[in-house]
Amino acid sequence: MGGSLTEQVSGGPLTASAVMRFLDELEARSEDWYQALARAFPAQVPTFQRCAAICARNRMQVLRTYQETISDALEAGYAFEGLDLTQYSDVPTVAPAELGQALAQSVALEERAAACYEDVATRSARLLATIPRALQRAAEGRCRNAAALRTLQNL
Amino acid sequence: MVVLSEPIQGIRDLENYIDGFWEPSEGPLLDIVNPANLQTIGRVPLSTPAELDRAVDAATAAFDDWRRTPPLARARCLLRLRDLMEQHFEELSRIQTQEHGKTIDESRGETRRGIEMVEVAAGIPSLMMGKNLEDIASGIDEFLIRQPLGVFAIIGPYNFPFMVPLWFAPFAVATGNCIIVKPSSEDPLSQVRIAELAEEAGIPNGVWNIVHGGRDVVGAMLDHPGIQGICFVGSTPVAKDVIYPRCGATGKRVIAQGGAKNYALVMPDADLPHTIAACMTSFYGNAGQRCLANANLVVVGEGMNETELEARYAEVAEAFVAAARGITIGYGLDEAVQMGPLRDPGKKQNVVRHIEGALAEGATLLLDGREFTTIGDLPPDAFLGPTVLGDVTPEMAVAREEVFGPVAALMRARDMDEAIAMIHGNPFGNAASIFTNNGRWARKFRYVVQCGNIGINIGIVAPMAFFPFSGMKDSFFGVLHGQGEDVIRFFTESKVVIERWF
Repeated sequence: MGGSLTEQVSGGPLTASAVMRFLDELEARSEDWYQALARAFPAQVPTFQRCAAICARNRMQVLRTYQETISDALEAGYAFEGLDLTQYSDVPTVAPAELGQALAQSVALEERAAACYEDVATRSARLLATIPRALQRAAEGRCRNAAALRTLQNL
Repeated sequence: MVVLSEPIQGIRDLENYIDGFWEPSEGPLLDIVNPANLQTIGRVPLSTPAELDRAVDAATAAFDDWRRTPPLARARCLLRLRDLMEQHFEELSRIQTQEHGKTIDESRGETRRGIEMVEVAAGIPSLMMGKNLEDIASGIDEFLIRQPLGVFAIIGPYNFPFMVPLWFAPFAVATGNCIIVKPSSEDPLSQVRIAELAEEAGIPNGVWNIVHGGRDVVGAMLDHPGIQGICFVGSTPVAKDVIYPRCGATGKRVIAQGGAKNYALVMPDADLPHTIAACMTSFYGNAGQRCLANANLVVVGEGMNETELEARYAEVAEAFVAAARGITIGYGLDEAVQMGPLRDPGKKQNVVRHIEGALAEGATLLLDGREFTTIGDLPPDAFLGPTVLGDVTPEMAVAREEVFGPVAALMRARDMDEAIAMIHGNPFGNAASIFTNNGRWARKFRYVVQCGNIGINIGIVAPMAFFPFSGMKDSFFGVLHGQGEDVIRFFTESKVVIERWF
């Protein structure tokens, strides 16, 4: 899907389809970011690949849950009123030269992503059933990523 | 926002699927038009009675082998079909948006509900089990065995082109019957795709057939002695005056689901934000073209004086209009769109006539859906915005007749009894909803209201695949309903065996 993440969620109300596409793209681009870091910093490959794997798992689980529960989610389009996803849309793309900078960017990405999932889950909690739980699990995965990256920062 | 790609490219001439082969029809072709952009995406044949005869012959010939196929093997065919539907989930959904106009979220919801029918039908080894009782008399045992009947015809509506035929088809096939599906000639493409997947899933030749067409084919189905039963979903006049009596005359089993005029009661204690969200989906989802759509919203003043009722009515109306005004309209493959077009320009004109009639009868125009803007550069022919009519009374035509469009009629009732009397004064009995936090009111509503599907704080009372899709009065003609245990009984004969050994 072309275009920036911001463009994909601008210019109209957020339907369930648009929100799920945003999360899907967020995870895909995050996974690409960690793969780029793994290539740039060979010594940290296990950590970055674990982060990438969690992004891939989130992507699969969120999309699957949406597709499996969408018949319960027809009110979902109205659950996301007022949600501003553009604040969560920044995903770095080019690996920096310094590991410290890469870790700082990654921690910020994880915190944004976790906050995004929490925000979407909270807004949809009363109208949807299974989707908020899947989003919470995705947020937990992103928090684990952040913790692992902070450990590296502190070494 | 993103506009999703279209799976249907160009113009496809559809064929009938008879005895496992795709065959061109000798009948004339009708255009299938995407209502959002008015592009022709296919042509559907109006098949001849002779082509229906061939399909019935093929289904009849396939029946004996299929009914002898062990239920578990039949279930495996359905499980493969289910897997293929999952693989093609997005394609199937986008086809529905292209052929019907609904939004992509609505289409995905429809796909999911359709797949759920196949999943539930795959439980046929358990669902079809009979009963027995030993020693009904000394040394005598009695058994009830469920046996398939033969060939069934399924006549689908245009509003849910993918899902509605699946209320019946997988259950008919699972129980060992053979089927002839006649999709709506307005949007038959998703049923064609299902038949292609059924073929790929290994469902034997002749078990699952498609014959396209219009009234001639329906008439031939009704009169055909080789067809054991008819499943029909469409308008009440056709269900009541054509399908039901003709099936009676020809001795066929029948499920005939007709139209609706569904009420939503908003009680004084209703959680308004959630009620309004549920109502937006219920009144305007699928552009109001849903037999479970609410159409009349009644603000109930139970325990209130007249002044309080007026204040509550004004509060509900204001919130309803504000939410409806925000609904975005456009092509359903655009992810910014919350409501698509009507299925065709003629249906839009019919809805407009209802709006004009309501205004002539004294209704107040709170939101005029005839004035709208669409997202994107689209022909306006089939589009209509959400309309809200206030001060509607039960005797107005807009309150009594099925509009089948994005029109909400707001009404008042002094108390719950008056509101229920309004529901019962209506000839339809498909669904009704109440929004309240009061268990006593909810129970009374559930207990008393003569509608087949009751919602308590639910806007669209759509029964799951393992429950019957109910309906009463002029919304349903027949005895057993689609889905659930009812449909298993519909597709099987209850044979009784009484056994004694000397």
